[in-house]
Amino acid sequence: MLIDQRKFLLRDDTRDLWAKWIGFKPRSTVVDVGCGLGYLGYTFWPFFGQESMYIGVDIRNGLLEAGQNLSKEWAIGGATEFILGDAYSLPLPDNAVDLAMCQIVLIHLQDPKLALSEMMRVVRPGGAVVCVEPDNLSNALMKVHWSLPDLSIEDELLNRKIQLIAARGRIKLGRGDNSFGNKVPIVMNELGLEEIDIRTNDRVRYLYPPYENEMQQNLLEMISKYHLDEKTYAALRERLKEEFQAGGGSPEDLEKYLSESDRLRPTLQEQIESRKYKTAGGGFVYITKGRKPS
Amino acid sequence: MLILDEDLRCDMPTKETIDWSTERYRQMLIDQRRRMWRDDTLDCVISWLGVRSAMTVVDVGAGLGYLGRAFGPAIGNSGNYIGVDVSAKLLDEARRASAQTSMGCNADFVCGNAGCIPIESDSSDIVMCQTLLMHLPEPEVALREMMRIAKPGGLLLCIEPDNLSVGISIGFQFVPRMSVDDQLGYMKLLLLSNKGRIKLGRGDHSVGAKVTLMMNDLGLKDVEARINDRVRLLLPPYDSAYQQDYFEMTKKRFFTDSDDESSRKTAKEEFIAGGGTGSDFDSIYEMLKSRVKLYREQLENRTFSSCSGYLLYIAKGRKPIGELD
Repeated sequence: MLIDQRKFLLRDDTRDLWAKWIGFKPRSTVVDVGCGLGYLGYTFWPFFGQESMYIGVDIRNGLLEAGQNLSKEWAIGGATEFILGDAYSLPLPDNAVDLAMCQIVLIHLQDPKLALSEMMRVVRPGGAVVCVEPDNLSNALMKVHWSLPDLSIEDELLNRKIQLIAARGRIKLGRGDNSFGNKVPIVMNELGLEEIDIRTNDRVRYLYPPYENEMQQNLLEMISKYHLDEKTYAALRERLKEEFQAGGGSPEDLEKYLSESDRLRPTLQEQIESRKYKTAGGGFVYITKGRKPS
Repeated sequence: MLILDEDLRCDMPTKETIDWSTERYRQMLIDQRRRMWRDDTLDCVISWLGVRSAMTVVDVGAGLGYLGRAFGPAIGNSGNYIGVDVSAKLLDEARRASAQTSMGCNADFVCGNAGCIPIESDSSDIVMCQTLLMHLPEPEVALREMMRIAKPGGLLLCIEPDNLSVGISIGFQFVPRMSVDDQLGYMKLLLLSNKGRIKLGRGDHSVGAKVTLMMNDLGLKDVEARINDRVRLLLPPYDSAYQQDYFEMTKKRFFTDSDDESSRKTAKEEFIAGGGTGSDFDSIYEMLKSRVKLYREQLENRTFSSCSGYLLYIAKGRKPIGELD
């Protein structure tokens, strides 16, 4: 899943644009917090890798060895290290690296500000902190299923109510603020980082029959899994229930929402299976950078 | 010449309900376009589109010729930019400005409607528009016309927003956070007003993502889209040039524009046309006014922070070369 979801996350020309904007340099030390299999490492290695050191930190022990092995293929001309560590207390000394980055990590943390301050601690004065984080709450409020009939205003508002309350529940349960993406600059400012700047990932995903290119086929696969696979659907439903209840939502609203989504599901499945399904849209995935004062 | 004589022009105009030459809207054309793009994004988009020197580029709904200035240097002195707009007054101003400071290319301005563009068929390398389709009752009519004047193999470029996305993102960002009920009230206002606007023939302000689907429906090839990656950021002490400018715009928005009685009337009319009730509108409006009061205080003591995404879609599609393309 880590690999699939990231394959079409970023356009190639946008990657180049970001790399220049971030200001990667060869002969530097870069730490990637919550590195997973090293996505940020292999994406940006061509821009900084020469005689450089990439340190991937992750709390999931199982991914480290796989990440280290994979890096043999991409980390040419420099070195990598994948180490076990917690975003709240990075296993690195103060001022140790030129750049600290993370992607889709802060939205899952109970205390994202603490993780940001840790990234700031390990960066040398004048070095940069870079975060790629979405606003998944706003993303969940956008229209996606363009080939389905329009919802009534009541249903539209009910969907939104469910998402808003579930997001609050998620925070209460300590699962993180899924709309943290565009709060990153505000928190960076509070922490005293300078020259803060932000842009969005400009990727637009769409599906239009006959789904001609590789990106569309990849997206179709992901959407099929999401909507056709019973186990995935049931798990997502369960999680939503938990979070909505934790957020203080009413059982009647939840019941109404779930039965409506069950009612629409066969049409959606039929459209996906008969390849009539259409979708189009961008989303809010932000990249924020800030400089540690010299 | 590519531009058609008066008597060859068709008589099936699309209806636009806003007169962009009136002072208020003319100022909007200027304010909203300033710093709309980051310089590096514009360079990236220009190379993504394959804009080259000597191309002929038509800008439909050109207003003051903003896109000409953005793309002019890339098409150069052997390239032609033709700005088309319904307002002769705006075109006069654009023409005068282009005579004063070069746009980097040849520039022509011609009065005409998006539903019957006064330009020969199959004549242009790139046909583009920005925040035009969102104001039209039948955006497909304009798209079809744009397709007609493009050369076979030529490009259509549409830069159109999803303004509902702005509302969604902005709604969460100003501190302190709104209650769930207030957020839902605000969304109801956005959704019903947009519905009403469409019903009243004033266009669909959330047309952005839909443009890619319309382009496919019309048979354009290699349809692709991206987002303008500009994020509207305000962090005290607002020290970058962009933030200083945006801070002033935000002050204007919350101190002057939000008191405008005619906008309130229009919004109410659209809300009701979308299926809402007058009393519902009034209570949502009161709630928003109390938020505005809070923002005003924060703006005055320079503690106001906000960071909002905005989905401005940049969609492109290629006109097929013959039936077999």
